[in-house]
Amino acid sequence: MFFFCLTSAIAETAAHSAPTPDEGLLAEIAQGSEEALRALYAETSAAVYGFALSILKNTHDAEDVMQDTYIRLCGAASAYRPEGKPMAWILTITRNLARMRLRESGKTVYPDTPEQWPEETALFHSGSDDRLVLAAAMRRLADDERQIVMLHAVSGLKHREIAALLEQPMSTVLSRYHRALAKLRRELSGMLAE
Amino acid sequence: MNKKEKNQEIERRLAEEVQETTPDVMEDVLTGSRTAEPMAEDKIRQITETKRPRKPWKVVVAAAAAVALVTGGSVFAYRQINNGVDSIVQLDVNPSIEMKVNRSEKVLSAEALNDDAKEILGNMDLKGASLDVAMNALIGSMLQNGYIDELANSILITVENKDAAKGAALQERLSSEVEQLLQDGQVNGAVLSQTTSADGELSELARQYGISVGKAALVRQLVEADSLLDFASLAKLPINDLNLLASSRKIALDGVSFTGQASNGAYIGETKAKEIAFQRAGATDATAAELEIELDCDDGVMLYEVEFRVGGYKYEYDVDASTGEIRKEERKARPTQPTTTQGVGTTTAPASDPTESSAAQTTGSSGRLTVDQALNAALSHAGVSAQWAYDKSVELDYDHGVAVYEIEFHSAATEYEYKIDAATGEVLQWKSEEDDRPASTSAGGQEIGMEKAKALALERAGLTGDVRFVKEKREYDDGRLIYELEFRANGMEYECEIDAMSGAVLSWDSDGDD
Repeated sequence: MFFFCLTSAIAETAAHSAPTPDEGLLAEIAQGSEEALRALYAETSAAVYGFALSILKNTHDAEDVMQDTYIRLCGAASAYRPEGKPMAWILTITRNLARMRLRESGKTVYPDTPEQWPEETALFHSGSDDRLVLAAAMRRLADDERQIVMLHAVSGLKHREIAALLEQPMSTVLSRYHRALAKLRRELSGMLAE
Repeated sequence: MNKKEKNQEIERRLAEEVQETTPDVMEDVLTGSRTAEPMAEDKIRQITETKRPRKPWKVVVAAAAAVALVTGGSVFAYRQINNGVDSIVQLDVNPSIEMKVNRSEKVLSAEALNDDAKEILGNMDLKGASLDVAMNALIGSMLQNGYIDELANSILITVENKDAAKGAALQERLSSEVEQLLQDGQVNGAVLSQTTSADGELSELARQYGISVGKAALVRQLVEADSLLDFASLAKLPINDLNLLASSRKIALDGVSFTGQASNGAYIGETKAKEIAFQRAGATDATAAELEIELDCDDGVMLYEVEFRVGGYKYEYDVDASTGEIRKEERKARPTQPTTTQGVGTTTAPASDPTESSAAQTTGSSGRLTVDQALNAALSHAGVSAQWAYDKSVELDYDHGVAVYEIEFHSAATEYEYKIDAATGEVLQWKSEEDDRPASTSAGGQEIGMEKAKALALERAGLTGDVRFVKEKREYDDGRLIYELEFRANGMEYECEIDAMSGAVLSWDSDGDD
């Protein structure tokens, strides 16, 4: 169900399994359709979770924020005005909730434990390459860089949309994005060797 | 792999890892949204609509508590879609609270800007409540906690909205709502309200002094209107004191709407302040002339400045507005106009000499600098920006027959004293010294008294007999009580400061007349 994204992969760089949820789902959710909520959730949850994770840097808080995002979305769906960007709209909710949680971060229930994101070398021999990439993104990138790369990779938002979502100038987003990927290429050179 | 392929590979793997590790919270979402939704809003509406009348704040604090309960869990569902901030509403009493509100007037956030506000907000969570409910709860809490009562009854409401008309409408509505709430709470309130628009300087000032932008706007107006006031002192005052200052000093505040009158119930009042000063000076309504009483603030303490003239002397008292204590007193021989030959041709002030000829022209006030101009001349000479000068005082005096402004101010741990030619603005004399005199150590000691101080001064000058003191001043200088004396004898002019407890001479200055 995730793989109708061939066109977007061509449109910009690698936007894998980029979710393009149907706006109609939101209208149905507003009517109370559980089925529509399940469909929307299935399509967008990874993007929501990934974005929350990139802001909060720990899986427990990210999970809480993901849950709150969908709960809030149910209440707000009736007021969604179709403008062709349901993904960006959902991620705005996530952004607000995650930032709120960061502000309260003195109270963060689960502290940011380094063990959660092991050193690349530890993973290098475990054969878990994908995990290595995520850990590198968590450990090596600055907060802004990580959010941009995550949004680009997982939610399939365009740089322009990312700039709007993160309230940063487009040029800043672009330069941070390129710098972030340069860092990751260097970190992961062993994996990408050929 | 080329660079682009590497990037794609990295992103693909990242996306895959996130996909794989995303937890499944669908069931929690379903239960959460089902249970939360009907509860939240209905409950608020029920509480606010059914039990509004008599004692609104009690009810509403409960409502706010209910809001807190519901939003406290992670299961509050917004019907509201609009998370965008439409208006910013600030409420200042002394507690300073800022609320961000969306287009349908639901509170998106409520922030305590000072410690008093933290007490007011307590563990109310106003998020998601309607603005009306939130205002009701906040005013109620302030009444309950004693921040608003008959003694201090002023509230400032500030609204910021990009749409000026909308902001103004909201300002007006909130103002009358609050007025009503205070009436219901049996308090004669004074409500000040204004709209602001984004202003970098104001936000910076607000941040610097830890106050709301709304209060910063009010303080800035006061300071701009009256150059003897300073931002730092005023920023510490509750709105009621600012309101009192504005009316006492007859400062018209632009763009601020007023209803009701600031209460001065906490203070002794102008009449009592006058009585205290008169008694000290031995003056009566019959003997005193040119009486002026003005409220002032010195380092967070509210004072009545009482000035009057009796015979050949001018008296000035600072009376603590709360306690009636005299904090500063001064008696000066009345400025004499340069009429006789005395002093002419003998000026030794470090000014070049045109002052003498111009002195003769300063008979009319037209040729004289204003207090503001004189103060600015001193500030710019000192390189101190008006914003950073505090404890400012400006007095017109005659020095060897020349009209002179004596100016004092403090800035950055330095005390400045200037004498500015009132006709030309020329700096005749200036002095700056470190502002770090230790506070008087004689807490339990006995004040030596003005007469003893005068005797000490004469002794130091080697004078005996009848000497006329042109200035006798008793004041607190950085917490230390001092006497400041000025007298003339045998063509010499003396100025000195004496510690009121130890009798030590703190500064000494003598100036030959010829």
